[in-house]
Amino acid sequence: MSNVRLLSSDNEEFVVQKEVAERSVLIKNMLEDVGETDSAIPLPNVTAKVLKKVIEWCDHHSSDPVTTDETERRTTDIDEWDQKFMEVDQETLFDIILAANYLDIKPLLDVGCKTVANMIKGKTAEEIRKIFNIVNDFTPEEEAQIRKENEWAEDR
Amino acid sequence: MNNKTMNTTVNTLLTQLKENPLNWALLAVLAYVVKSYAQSTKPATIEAKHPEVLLFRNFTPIDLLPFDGNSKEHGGRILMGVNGSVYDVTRGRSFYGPEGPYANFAGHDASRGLAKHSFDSDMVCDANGPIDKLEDLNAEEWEALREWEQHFATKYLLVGKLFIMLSHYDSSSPLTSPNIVESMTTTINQHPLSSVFQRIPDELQIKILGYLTVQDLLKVTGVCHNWYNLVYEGSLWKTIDITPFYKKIPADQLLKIGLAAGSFLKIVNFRGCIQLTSHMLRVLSDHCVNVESLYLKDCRGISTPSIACFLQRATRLTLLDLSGLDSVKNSTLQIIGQHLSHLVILNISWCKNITGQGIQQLVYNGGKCHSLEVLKLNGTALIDETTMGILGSHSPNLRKLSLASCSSLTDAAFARFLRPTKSTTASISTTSLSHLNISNCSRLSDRSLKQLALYGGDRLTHLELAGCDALTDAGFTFMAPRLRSLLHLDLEDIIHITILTIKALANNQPNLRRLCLSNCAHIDDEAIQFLILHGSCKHLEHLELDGCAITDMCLDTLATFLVDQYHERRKFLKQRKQLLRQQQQQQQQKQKQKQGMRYSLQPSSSIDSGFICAASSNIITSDVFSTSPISTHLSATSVMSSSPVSTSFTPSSSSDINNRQMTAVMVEESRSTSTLCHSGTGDSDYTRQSTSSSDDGRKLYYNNNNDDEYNDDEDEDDEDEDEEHRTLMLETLDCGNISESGVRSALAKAEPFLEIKSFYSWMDTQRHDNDDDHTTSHHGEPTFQHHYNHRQRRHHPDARQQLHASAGRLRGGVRTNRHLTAGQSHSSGCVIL
Repeated sequence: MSNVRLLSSDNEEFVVQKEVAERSVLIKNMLEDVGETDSAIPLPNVTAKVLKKVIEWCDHHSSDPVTTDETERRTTDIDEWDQKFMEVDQETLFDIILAANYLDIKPLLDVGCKTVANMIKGKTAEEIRKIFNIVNDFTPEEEAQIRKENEWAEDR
Repeated sequence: MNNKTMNTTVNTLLTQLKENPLNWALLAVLAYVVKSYAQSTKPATIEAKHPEVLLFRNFTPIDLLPFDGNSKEHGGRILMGVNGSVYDVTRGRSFYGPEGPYANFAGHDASRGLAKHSFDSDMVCDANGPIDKLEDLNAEEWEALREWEQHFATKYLLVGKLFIMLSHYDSSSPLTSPNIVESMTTTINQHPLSSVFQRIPDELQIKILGYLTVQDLLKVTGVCHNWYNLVYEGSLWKTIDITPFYKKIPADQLLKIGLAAGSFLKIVNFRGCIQLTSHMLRVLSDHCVNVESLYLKDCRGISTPSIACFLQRATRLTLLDLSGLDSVKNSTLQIIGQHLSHLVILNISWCKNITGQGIQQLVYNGGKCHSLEVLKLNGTALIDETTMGILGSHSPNLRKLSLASCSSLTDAAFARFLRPTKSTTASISTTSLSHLNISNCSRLSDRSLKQLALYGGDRLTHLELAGCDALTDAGFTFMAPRLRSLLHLDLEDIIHITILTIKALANNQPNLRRLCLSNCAHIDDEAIQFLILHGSCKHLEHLELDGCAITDMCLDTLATFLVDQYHERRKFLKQRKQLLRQQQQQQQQKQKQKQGMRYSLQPSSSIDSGFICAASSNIITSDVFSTSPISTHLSATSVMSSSPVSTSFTPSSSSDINNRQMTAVMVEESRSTSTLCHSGTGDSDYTRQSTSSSDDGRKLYYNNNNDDEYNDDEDEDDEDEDEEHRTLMLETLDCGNISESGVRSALAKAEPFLEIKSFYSWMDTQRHDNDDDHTTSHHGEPTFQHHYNHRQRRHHPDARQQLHASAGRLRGGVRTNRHLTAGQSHSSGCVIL
């Protein structure tokens, strides 16, 4: 099992098994294009901190079968290990999502997005703004109108 | 007197001042306070004289320019942009007015200057350029800006926002200016205080929002403009299923979502939504042209022309459910036939105003629905011979046909469907037919069963005949040996059938998974025991016996049988394990002496764990050997499910039932360096007997026990023991001869192998002394509900599914977990409602 060297944006080098690194479609394609290489693959969009997390995830999921089933991916259930894995601060969580998007690791991207979706679920607009520090850019009138429109969806 | 006192006071003050210079300072402070008080009240009074109507609005940088305090037109108002907000700072004229130190900021976006604590004019960006995104500010500067913003927020009036967003539906919004669009896109990112969401692109935000339910999705439209726009942008609405809130959603919201979805929309379920009007359907027909699946069941608010209007444009429809709509007429069917050539699934059950004449239009006389695979016509009137003949000869892909409660259906018409007139061969439709539901077609007699047996095709797996009470033993004894592909047979309410039918089925239906005999009053213990113990239905896993004449005795016999089967299985596995060990030893000896022997082996359909396995029938070997030079670990997987006995233990396994005999598992010799490389096979001097024709599972079992050789990992072996056993689900609701104790003792005896769903009419008297969690948790309301459902289903064949659904809920997913929790107790075995 050969290894691959990955270089984070802040110039930290990680040596990972090829199989693990190939969870990333981006890296997989790169390796296919380049062939056997000794030089490190630069990942200018990913910091060492995030890359470490991503590698941890890939390592744990290295033997997962590749699922293409859209319907299964749509549910927001997350397995236990992934839940634990995603217990990070918001910044890191979004960094992971961005990295997964950049590195093209669909299952990780899904898990990340599901985690965020679960944070949004069942909350009021005000709570959501607070959690994610989103500025309310509606006029009071607009806000009232939107609330009125969606009143029916409130009580379940 | 007063003067004197005054003089003394003044003198005292003067002396005090002379003596202590600090008092001068105090005096100066006092004077300043008085003065500034006077000054600050002054503008306030001015404002009071000219009260202005304050309008919260959005400003572009250009809008802001005139408010620099110089313009007479605006009454000298001074506005200033701070971090995306616009404040009216007229009160602070001394600071921000034309003469003030911050005059530069008046009428401009001051964010950058405030953040950098600089009042230079280059801090104010050009009003004609894009809005300053402030991207280059460092944390300290952001902090400063935030402080300033707080300061402004407490001291001055917030009068608007410094950017404009286009709101899709709010056309009343007063903001329209040419650079709106540009500022809209730039200002999204300009949002201050960096929410994490700003860092990820819209596609990812949409992806996240895509995991939300519709209600949550609509709720988050109130979070910020960007989300509002993303939600209504369309791509999140490929599917609209209003099932969870079909009663609550207001018509205008429904339309709004529909319009937002537009051409993204693929799957629409408006089932039961009476808010849906003809007008809305027409509007949607203009926008949602790519719909592929449309459920309009019970949408009573829509008219015949509006349905026609939608269907004419939605030519990509593959699934259409119009059931229960009085507004569906024969003309509607004509339009379906003319326009929807891709249609695969069509449900027009219980549409009062259609007849066989209309159905012909689907596939005949200009009708192009030749791709139809599923057709549900339940409760359709006037289905005559011609109609059935046309259906039979013009729908070559038909897999599922449902004609339940078509009371006009006659033997002759049904025969025409199966076989065109005067022809001796079956019609083209029947060759592909796998599901047929002719429940409650009470005119059908044994003649139809005979026709079905002769021309029904060999793919028919699901046959529902519930309530066809003219059918008798004669019909079934004729059909059973001829139509042998059945998996699912429903004979509910066919009151005349007796043990003769059961015997015919038991002897001829080896694939049967599910059988419903509810309310077949003549079905008794003898019939059921024959079916389970002696029949060839080794895959039977669900048996409905509601209202049958069976007794506790029968349950006990079944329980005993299932347990016996299991123990025999275990014994078999143990012996196999011993054999395996012997073989291992033998093999290791032989390994050194011999090299590669070849077998011609057929690949097995069941491959476990990535091993390459091969099974063949009738291998007679005296000497078996095969190994990899590298691997010393002997571990081949077992493929047990290929023997009839094994499959009877694992009714759900995907074994190939034709592959009757299972023998040594063979891992082909491998010289590769693969880590998966194992090898080994059993050697045996036994001669396999051909046992497949035996009807008795137990006999067969013993035979195989002696014959078969397996190589097996011990770990895997243990798993197999847990998983591989037969589970039978019985439904015995309303069985007068079944008692609670009978059910209990049967369950206690055969816990993981037997599930019984029963209805305890005596629950009221006995529920207190039972210690079964499930029983106690299910008494009360669910019982009544079940009562109700149960009664209902007699009259509504469609209610059957609801019943199963609700029963499934009550059981709390027990069924789905059955294979996983097989080893567990009561909780998986006993379900008592």
